[in-house]
Amino acid sequence: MPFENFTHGRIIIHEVFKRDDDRRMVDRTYSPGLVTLDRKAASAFQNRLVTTLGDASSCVEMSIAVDSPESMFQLAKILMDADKPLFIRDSRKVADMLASAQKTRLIPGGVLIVFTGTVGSPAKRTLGIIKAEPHNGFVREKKSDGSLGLRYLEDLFLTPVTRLYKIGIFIESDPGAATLERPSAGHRAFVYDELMTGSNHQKAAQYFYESFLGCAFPDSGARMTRLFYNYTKDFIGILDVPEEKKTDLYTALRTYLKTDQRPVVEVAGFASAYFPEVRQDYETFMAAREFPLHAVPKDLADLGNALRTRRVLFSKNIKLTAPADMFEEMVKIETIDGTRGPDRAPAKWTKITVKDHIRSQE
Amino acid sequence: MNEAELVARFRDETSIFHAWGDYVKSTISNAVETTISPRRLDDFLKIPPIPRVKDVGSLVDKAFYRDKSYRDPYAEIADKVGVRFVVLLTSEIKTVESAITTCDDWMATKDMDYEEERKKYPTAFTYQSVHYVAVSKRNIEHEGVIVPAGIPCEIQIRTLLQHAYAELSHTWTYKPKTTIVPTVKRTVAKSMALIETTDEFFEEVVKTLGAEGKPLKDALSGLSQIYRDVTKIAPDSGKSNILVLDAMRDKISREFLDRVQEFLRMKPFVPKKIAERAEYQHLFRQPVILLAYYLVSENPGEAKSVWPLTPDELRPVFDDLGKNFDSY
Repeated sequence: MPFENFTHGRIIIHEVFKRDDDRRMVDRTYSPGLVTLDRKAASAFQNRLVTTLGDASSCVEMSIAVDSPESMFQLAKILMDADKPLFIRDSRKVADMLASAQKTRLIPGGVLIVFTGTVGSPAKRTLGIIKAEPHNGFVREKKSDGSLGLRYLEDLFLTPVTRLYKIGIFIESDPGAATLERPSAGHRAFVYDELMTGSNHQKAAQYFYESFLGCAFPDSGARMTRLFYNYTKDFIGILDVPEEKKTDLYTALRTYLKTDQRPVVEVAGFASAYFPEVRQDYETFMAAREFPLHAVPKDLADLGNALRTRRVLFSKNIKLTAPADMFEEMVKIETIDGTRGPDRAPAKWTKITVKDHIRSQE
Repeated sequence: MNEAELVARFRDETSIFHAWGDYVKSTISNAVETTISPRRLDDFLKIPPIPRVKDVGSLVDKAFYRDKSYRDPYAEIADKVGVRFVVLLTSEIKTVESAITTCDDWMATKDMDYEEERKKYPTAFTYQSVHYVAVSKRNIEHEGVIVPAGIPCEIQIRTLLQHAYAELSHTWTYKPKTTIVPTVKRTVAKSMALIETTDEFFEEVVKTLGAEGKPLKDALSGLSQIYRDVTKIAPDSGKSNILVLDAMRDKISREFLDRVQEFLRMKPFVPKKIAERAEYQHLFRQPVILLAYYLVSENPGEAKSVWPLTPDELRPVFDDLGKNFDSY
């Protein structure tokens, strides 16, 4: 939802390069003027943004860790307020900051797009920064004799291949909440970088979200992960499916949190992997509890016990507990028909198979 | 009036008949177009109406050589200029008729009415058409020509099938009557009987389809009204409306228009986005785009899966609502 109703304002492009052989910064190429987009291009630009930041995307809401006068956050505020000449001039600092954050030669150069705009309803001011790495491709070319040819292009960017760009965006959601001590209060920051949410690549993403943007994974990660777990558990509980299926889903939830290497959890990602058929109900359920539909940093600190033990409770205080990592392998739960009740409908019984002998009982 | 005088007068007044025929055609066309909107006139009329001024030869022929006892042939021959309106259904003839009879520029009299003819000759199956004669009531200027009062124009209205019959019978009009054998006459009469039957079937089909399609039609007209209100743009009525409505027909309940309106109150930016996109994207000029926004907002996964047009046409709707199209 935060990225509905996007409209861009000023857009400017600069270029940063990878460091030279001595790891020194290479001069940036600054553009002296703004970019104007025709309607189709503006629509495509909006599409790239929403694809990476919108609901069901893998963007992460970060906390604004650095908001001192020299920070990217403060520069973003200046650029939101700036008039055109000032915007053109000060947007160069964004390129300088990125170049300085790119400390190793492993980090490629790229086109830097700095833009103002508004998002949401009512519309909130925003400043966004895209680093797009050029890639190559072909365009069709009509020749004078009417035949079609292919022309090779080396510097395509912002194609739908989201792997090749990173976005950071600051939104003024409640600027009145900002204070002298905490000027970033009332502001939100979102970052999309495929490296950030992929498995084991977080280090490679750090220069962008941390050194450059001054953002950090929010410390609410543990709380949000616990909420994700609890809400999802509740949702599975009310699903209209056989108990066996629920057993599978509880197992899936644990696997998703414990075994999956990605550093984030995603409502959409979990749903499409495990219950695509009720995905919409699940998203509505989560949204009603104000759980974000974009990615949330995963932190299992608050979930230790819950993930270690599987519990199955029966109505008359009969309990089955088992180590979660063995549950799927060792325990089989089936619903079977019991004796017929007075209304002649069979009672629902449970058949538990434990693939082990009894060690002791009391 | 002798032949030479008739020819001279007709030549003299030809431009008046041209002007009058054109005026009558345009006036009726405009009135019909208003009545049938949003349907288009070129869809409603199966043959473009083109006013035709009689050529002088056939006027002379009709006035003096066809056993017709005119006292004042020039005045009495009403079809010196004529125009024909051809529609698909018998019920549509009434639409054209009412455009003729409600116009104040002329005096309209019905010259021929096939329904009357059917009553009068219940066993005959022959030429069927509705004819009116529209006589100008006062001086009317049209395309630089003053048409005086008293100029007649014959207007024919018929269905496409009745027209087919007329075209066929036209081929024997100029044959000596005695040479047509009775079996041919019988065959032609049988054709007319079939045509009358088929016209009735056509009517029945359209009526039944209309009843079936009523919920969709009501939904579309409701959406059109909302579209007009919120975007201040006149909506298009392209085929995509029906395609999309049909694909999403199980979402169309009694209250759904209220829900769409409620949705627009919650998201007041949507009409603005639609208006911007309407300037260059055809689909955003169709009222059904409102339904797309509403459904994508409610249930993006389902909206995407039932969408009957190309995904690229729906993508901007997701974009405007801040949802990542690719992950649904």
